[in-house]
Amino acid sequence: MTLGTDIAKKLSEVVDTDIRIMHVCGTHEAAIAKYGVRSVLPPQMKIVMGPGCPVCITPQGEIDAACELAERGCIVCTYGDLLRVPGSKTSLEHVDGDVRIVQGITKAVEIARQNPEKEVVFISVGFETTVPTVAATLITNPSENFSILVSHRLVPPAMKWLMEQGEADLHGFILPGHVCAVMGYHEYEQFKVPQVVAGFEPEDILLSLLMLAEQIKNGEAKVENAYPRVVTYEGNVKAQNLMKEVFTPSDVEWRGFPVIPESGLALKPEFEAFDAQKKFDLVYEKITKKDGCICDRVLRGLADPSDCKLFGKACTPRVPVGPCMVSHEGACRIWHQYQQKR
Amino acid sequence: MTGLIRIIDEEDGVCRVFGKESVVTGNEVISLSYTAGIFSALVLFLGGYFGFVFSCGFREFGVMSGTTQRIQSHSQVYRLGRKFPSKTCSAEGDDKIVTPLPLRSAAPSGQPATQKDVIMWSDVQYTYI
Repeated sequence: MTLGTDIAKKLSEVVDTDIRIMHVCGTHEAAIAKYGVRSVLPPQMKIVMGPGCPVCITPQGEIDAACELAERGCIVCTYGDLLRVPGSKTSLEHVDGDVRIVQGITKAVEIARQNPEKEVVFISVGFETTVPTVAATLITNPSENFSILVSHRLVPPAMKWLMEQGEADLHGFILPGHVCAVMGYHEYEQFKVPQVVAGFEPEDILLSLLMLAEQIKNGEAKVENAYPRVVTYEGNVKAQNLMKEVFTPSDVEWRGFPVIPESGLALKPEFEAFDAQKKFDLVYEKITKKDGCICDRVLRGLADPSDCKLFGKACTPRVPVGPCMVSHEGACRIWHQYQQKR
Repeated sequence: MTGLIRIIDEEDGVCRVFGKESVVTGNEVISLSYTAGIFSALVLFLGGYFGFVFSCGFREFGVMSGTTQRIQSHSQVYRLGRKFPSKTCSAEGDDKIVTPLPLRSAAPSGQPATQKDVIMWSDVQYTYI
C-alpha cells in the first residue's frame, strides 16, 4: 500500500484546481468503490461514471425484443447480468419462456446443437470485449437453428458524443483497460483531451489519475498507457480482424442517449443468417422513459447514483427499477453494494 | 461481466486478452431470488405471529408493556402505510413506484413518521377498523 499512499500524496500536490474525470468502464467503478479510491483523492478531484456498463446502456426496446423471442418459443440464452434488467413490460427473468443463463456464446451454440428442433437465440451484448468471441464463433458456422440478437456497442463514438455535448464538464478520461487490451488505444488519439488507459488495481487507477492531473496541469492532451502489462498501442490485432470480418459499424440507440452514429455493430450480409432481428422480423420499439429512475443521467456523468430519490429505497438490487441497479458493472448496484455515498 | 479470456497466440507464443465473458452464473441469480424468498417468508411469518399476539392476545387480557406498545404502534403504522398507497418517493415524473416505504408514508404530510405521528395515526387506524 506504500505505493498507493505515495501516489495519493503526489496527486494532492499536483491537483490545484477543480478537475472532473470520467471513466467508461463498470469494472473501474467497482474497483474505485471497493477500494475506497475516492476517499484518498484531493477534494478538488471528482471521478464520474460514464456509459461503461454494457447491460445498462441496452435500450428497453432490445430487452423487449429478447422477451418477445422467449414468448415466441425460442430458447433465449443470455449473460446473467442481463436477466433482471427491466424492459417496458417485463424482464427476461419473469418472462414466460425458456431463458437460460450462459457464460458465453459457445455454451449457447452447444444448447442449439442439443436442441435441433428449437430455435436458440443468444443475446449478444457488450462492448468491444465480448465481440471477438462472438465473431470467432460465427465463422465456425454454427447450426441453422442458432442466431444472435446483436446489441453490441462501441466506446469511442459514445465518448465523442459526450465531448460534443459538453454537458458533463469533463477534463479527461480514464480509458477502459479491457477494451483497450483488445482494441489498443490508437483510436482514442482522435480526441484532443487528456486520456490515460488504466488497469483495475487501486494503484493502477490512482496512477492514471496522477498522469491525468499532470497532463491537465501542463496543458497537454494526449493518450497515455498506465496499464502496459496488458495493453499495447495496437491491441490484439487478430481479435480486431475477426470483428471486422463478421461485423460492420451501425447507428444505434443507447439507453439514456440518442442514436449515436456508428456506435453499434451489425452483422455483415454474409452472416445475416445468424441475425435474430431479421430472422424473426423483430422491430425495436422506442420506449419513452416514465419512471423516476435517473440511470440516463448517471450514465452521462451528470448525476451520482445517490442523487436518485429511488436509490436504496424503491430501487435495490433485489427490486431494481433501472438497469444500473441490476448489473455488477452498474454504478447504482456498485454504490449500493459498497455503500458509497458520494 | 469480468471474466477475461486470454489466448496464447500460436505464432509468437504470447498470451493476449481476447475478450470477456460473463461471470454472473445462474446459481448467483437464483440464490438471490431464494434469499429474497426466504426473507419474505420469514417477515410474513414473524409479522403474522406478532400481529396476532399483540393485536389480539395482549389487548384481550389488558397486558401491554412499554415495548409491546411501541411494537404495536409500529405495526399499526405499517398497516396504515399500506392503507394509504401514496407515492412515497415523490420522484419527478414517476408513476411506477412499486415498493412503498411504509414508515415514511405513515405521516400525512409525507414527512418521516415521528413517534408522535406513530401514536396519532395508530389511533386513527383504530377508527378505520
